[in-house]
Amino acid sequence: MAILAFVLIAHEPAEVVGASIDMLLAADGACLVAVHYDRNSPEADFAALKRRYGAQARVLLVEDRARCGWGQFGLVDGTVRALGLLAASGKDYTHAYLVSCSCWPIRPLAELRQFLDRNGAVDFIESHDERWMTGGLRQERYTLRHPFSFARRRGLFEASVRLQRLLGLRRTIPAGLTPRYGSQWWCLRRETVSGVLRWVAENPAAYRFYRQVWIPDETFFQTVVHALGGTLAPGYIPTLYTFNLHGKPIVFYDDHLAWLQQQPHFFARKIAPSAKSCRAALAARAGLPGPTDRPVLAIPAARTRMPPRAETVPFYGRMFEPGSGIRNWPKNLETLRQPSAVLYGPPPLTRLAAGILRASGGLTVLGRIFHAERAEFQPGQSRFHGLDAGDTTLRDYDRALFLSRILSRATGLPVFELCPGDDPVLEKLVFENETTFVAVPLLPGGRSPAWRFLFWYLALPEPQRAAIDAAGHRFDRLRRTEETAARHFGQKHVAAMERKLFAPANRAGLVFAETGVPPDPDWTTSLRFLHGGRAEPLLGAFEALAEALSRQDWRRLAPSLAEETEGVAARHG
Amino acid sequence: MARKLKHRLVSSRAYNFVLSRWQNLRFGSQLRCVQNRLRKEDTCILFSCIRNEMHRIDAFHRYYRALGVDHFVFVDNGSTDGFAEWSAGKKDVSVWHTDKGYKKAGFGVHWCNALLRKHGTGKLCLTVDPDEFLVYPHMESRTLKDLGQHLKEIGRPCLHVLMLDAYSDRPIEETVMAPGDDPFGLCPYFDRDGYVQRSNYMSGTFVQGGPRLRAFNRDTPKEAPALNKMPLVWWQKHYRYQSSAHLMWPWSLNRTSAKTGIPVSGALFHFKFVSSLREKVEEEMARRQHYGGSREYKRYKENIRTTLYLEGVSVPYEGTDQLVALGLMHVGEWV
Repeated sequence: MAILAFVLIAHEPAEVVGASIDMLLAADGACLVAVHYDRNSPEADFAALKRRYGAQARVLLVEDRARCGWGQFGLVDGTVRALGLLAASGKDYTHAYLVSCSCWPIRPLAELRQFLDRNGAVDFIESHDERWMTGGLRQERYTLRHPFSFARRRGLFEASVRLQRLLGLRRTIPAGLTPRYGSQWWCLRRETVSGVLRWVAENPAAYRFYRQVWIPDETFFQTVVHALGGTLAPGYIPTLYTFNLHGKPIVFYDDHLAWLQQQPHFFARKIAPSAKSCRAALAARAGLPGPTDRPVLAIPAARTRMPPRAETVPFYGRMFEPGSGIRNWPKNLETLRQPSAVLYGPPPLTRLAAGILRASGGLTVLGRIFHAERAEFQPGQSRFHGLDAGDTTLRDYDRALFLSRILSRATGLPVFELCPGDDPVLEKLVFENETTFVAVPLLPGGRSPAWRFLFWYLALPEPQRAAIDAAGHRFDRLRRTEETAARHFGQKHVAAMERKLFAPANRAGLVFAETGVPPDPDWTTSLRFLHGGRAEPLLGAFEALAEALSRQDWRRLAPSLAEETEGVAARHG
Repeated sequence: MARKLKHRLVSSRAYNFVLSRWQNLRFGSQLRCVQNRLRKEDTCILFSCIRNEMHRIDAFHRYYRALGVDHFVFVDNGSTDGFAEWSAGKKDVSVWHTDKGYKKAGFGVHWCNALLRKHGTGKLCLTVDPDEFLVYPHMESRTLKDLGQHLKEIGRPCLHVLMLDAYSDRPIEETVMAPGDDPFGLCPYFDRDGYVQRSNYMSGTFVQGGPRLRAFNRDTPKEAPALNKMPLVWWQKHYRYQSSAHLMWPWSLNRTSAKTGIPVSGALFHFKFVSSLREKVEEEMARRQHYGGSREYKRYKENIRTTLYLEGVSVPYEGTDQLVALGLMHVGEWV
């Protein structure tokens, strides 16, 4: 049966260290604890530890202590001294396990002993080449001298690195050593520990070399164990550790308890000091006499990377979302993750189409939400789930936010009407963002560019149409339509929209003509591909829409453009 | 040209150095220490400027004690409702008293700045008004100090929060808060969306919304008050709150997102819309000690009878996970 010897590297106040030692002693009746207490910490704390554990035979306190600090040699030296003390004490143990006060057992130590018994031929220490490091210095951890503390003397540390690079100073790595890297935390067999101690005794110069290597605790034992040629467990260590994007360990709290207990590791770090109930529950579990229901006995294959997290999708209006609130539709639409269908065309046609879609069901059909005078929701309704039709000032204060609020309130696929002049920038973008919008242009007459006169005539408001109608000749009316549309909607906008709507390649949209042209099958298939089942009610309604539109007669909508044609027909007939 | 020069000036280190020294001297000298019970081991300190808030002080004190605040530092701006007696009996409360103008003191921030510099440097400092209650992700199982530790680890000196105006489903004047009442029980509703944001590299994210935008400023949205704040800061002696804790110097503190994404953020429940607002409004209309010529208080006066609850927008507060799901608060890397 394995006998554990924990090597505890500590710098915390005496009561915290004491809690860790007591927990280990209580959880495993046979284990040893060798403590290295940082010489930078108050002397009084060490004295307190000595008083508390002086008579306890299973606790060994290193007397000749090293000064420790993040990324400094003291951490290695302290560990080596503790291992030396273990060897000198002559006490019996089979495995040395390196822990700190932030490490806490997450499985019964009895299970750990069983696990070590079954896997007695390997050492648990990570051993990677330099690709293991994700950023910062790599080779230069070895080839430069690092006399200054990174944590406390950041400026000096960086200046010394720059100076050595400038002067081209390089150190030679001691012969026979291939740098290996990995997590600081390990569990080594007694033979390997003896081998490391022997190596330290036989190679004092090489051991001294590590004094000025950067972060030696992540490379010293890895390199020496590699040089000794032991058998390593592939890619697994019994201590669970995770890092966040800043390269800092993720701290575990009370709410991680259930997750921690499921992990195929035996210790976890770091457990927050304030997570008292988590620590207590895990300590109780560590002391269980036998393994858990789902014991870890064989070496698990995959290493745990990250605690579970709810993936949050960025969306417009989310707090502190970068780019929120800028008056820039293209940017706004990037974070508008919900698709919607847009009925684009002259108001009489969009109104008609919206009515038909509303009757077909499965969709949330809204009116002209960007109408200048009032946001139109459903017919006869001035409110839409807390949004007020009259609040146009608020709507225009952040239109993207308004749209995202509408979309988040829709139950089915949201469909809204958009008519020329409502929002020129959005009108163009509707045809450019296939993923965000299903653009359904409603073209009166047909796709041929000649029909653009009818399109703009119907899109213009009533007073402008009356002015066009006042022209005596039909040819004048067409010319006036063009001029008035350019004046009313803007010449550039009219041209841009005509390019989108009446381009020869354009097969999208529904044509409103006597013949009743069905929607292009290619277009509907592409919509099905892009939007999946969500678009199905809309596609199903297209047939009915085309049907109903074909029953309309454009001559009735635009009699002034029609009369002369009929006059000609009458003359010739 | 003049604007550009002014901008250069107010964003210069020298100007801010001199200004903050002068403000600390001037407004620090207005404060008279009533009781200073700060201990060396207090690491998480709350700073607040109050005036006649006895009806909620107990709930306030209890709430923040439970979150792990070690000590409370109050600036008492001439309270007349027995605050002195209340504070005398509390071991974890220190009080500085002043009768000087609230408006002149930058709506209390200059007083807080002076105390923060003197007593908060190097500590985790929470600066809130007595009607503001901070919530943050995982607060059910993690303390403010845990949050502070995380902020330190990800290299951020402060926590950004969104102020959520809380209200009840009754008219404001019928929402009566008695001493000791749980404000979350009395005013459980808040706006689930509709927060307008403007990001700026210098001044961070300016947020407007809630009932004060949709009900009181529906035709004048530009005048709606700011809802972004930075109440929790690892204080350093050159730090300074500007414009009632909506902005900070140095301006790098105002940035709300980093390359690694949006870091952890919180929310600040604001329980202003209770019946005591009426007395407050009447008093303020006479004192004229609030922002923008007390413009906001005129709005409150006009709207004291309104019900802020709005079907479809208002939702009752259920917990921090709800705010995270609504996108009003972020977990960031604090998983």
